[in-house]
Amino acid sequence: MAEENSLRCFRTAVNSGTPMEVYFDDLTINHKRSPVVAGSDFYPFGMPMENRSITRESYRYGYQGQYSAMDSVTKWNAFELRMYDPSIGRWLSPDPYGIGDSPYIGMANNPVSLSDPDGGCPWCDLLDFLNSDEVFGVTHWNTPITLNEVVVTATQMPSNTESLFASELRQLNGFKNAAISGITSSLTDLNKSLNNTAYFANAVNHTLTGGAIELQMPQNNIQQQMQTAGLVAGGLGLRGMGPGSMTIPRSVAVTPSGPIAITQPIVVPVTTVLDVHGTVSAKSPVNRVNSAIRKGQAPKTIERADTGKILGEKDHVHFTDDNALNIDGTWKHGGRILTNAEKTFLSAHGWRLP
Amino acid sequence: METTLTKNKFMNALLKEWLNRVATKKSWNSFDDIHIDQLDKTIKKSEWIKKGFVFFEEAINCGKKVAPDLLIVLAFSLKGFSKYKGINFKGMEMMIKELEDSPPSIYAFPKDFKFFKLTIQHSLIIQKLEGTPNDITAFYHEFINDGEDQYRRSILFIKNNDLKKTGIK
Repeated sequence: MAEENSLRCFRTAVNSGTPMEVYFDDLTINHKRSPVVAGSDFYPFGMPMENRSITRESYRYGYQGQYSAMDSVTKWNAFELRMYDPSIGRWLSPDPYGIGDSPYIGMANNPVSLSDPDGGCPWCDLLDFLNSDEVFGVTHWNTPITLNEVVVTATQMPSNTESLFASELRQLNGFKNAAISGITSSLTDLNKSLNNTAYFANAVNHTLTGGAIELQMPQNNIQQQMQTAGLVAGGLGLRGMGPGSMTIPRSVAVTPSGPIAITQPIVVPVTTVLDVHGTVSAKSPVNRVNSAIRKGQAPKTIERADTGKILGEKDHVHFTDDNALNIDGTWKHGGRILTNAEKTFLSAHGWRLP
Repeated sequence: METTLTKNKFMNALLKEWLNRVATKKSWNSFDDIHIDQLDKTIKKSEWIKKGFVFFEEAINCGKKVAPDLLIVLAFSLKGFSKYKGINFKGMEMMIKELEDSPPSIYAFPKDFKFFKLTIQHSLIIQKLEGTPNDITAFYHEFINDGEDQYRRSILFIKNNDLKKTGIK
């Protein structure tokens, strides 16, 4: 915890009513995350994994975070529109919108890539994501965009790389006018790479100058295109974006024992601990200069800084050659041309230069 | 012995030079002072008070010859605090602990120099400060400027005879 005296001192300095610089001596601030109080790993369809939960405090939400709350008796998730049984990956009532291959399948049978916030739309998060600025850094998908930097990393490149890539984009992703040119890096096993989620997700983050993809995607057709593009089946489409890129932070991991675990966002309280140590003070320029001198941070020619002892006397620095310069840039006694080091130091410590 | 004499000569020469400068250039306006470590580079902080008074006397003697119209004042900077501290020492022994890192200095002012008179008028007269000579008056001055977080504290010494010249009672 922060030392109360330090914080109080800091507050006093800041709230003194008069704008002033506040300086800290030997201050260290440790910004710590507060301890994780709740969290869990889940099987793909949302059943909590045994012995992989953190339950220091009760937390009502589980699978898919705040979208659902687990009933403590039935272990079903209460989504906004319907109940869900994570042990079988099925909804307990039909899809209210009547979409999908079956009205009961959970997360369109693709829980690794999809989420269903309310129980009626497993693509909603993806659509929100596609309409967000996170996708290739563009704002509106109903206007043509050009990706000037695209890379697909591989070791050998088949001759039909560009057309194949474009075809995949058109067919699987619904990008009607996808065209690719200028890919110059070597590619191998492109089909495999295009079906490799992580691979493609990484690829779009790399750089290949000269590559260009034109994408056009009318916003009002996105959902239709997503469905017809075989998103559920995977491929470049949905999974091409990569679960790591989804707006819902979620990572996929393979456990040593085999099952795929979906790690939900760990519940971390928003409060963090600010750990402050050190002496807090509003230092005068004189004290700052003297402190720097003691630490060997001042030019050797600056001997000391003094406060004025008589009313009207200004704070001043003494040089080793017995000259003394007032803080307002006038000479207390003596006078000479300052060296660059002296100028830099004194300016940084609140002195005006003569 | 020879070393002491040489030191005294050196000190006297510096004092005369300084007093001449103050008197001729009227550099009291810029609070032209001389710190005791300028007079003796080997002086230690523990000796500041004792040596300060020695140099003060020397400066007064020099002043009588070089600049008889100027008042000689010995000033010590004391440590400042965020709250008003007041006189928290009974004598010179205790005052050592209160000394700031700036060596004491000697000023020379004309008797009607307004800033000095203002300072004296806003100071507390220390009636009994153990260890000070009888013919010297001590003034304790503590104030804070707007925007600063620490009070400035200093103690000034002036010969009683010189004090009379200022007309301050």
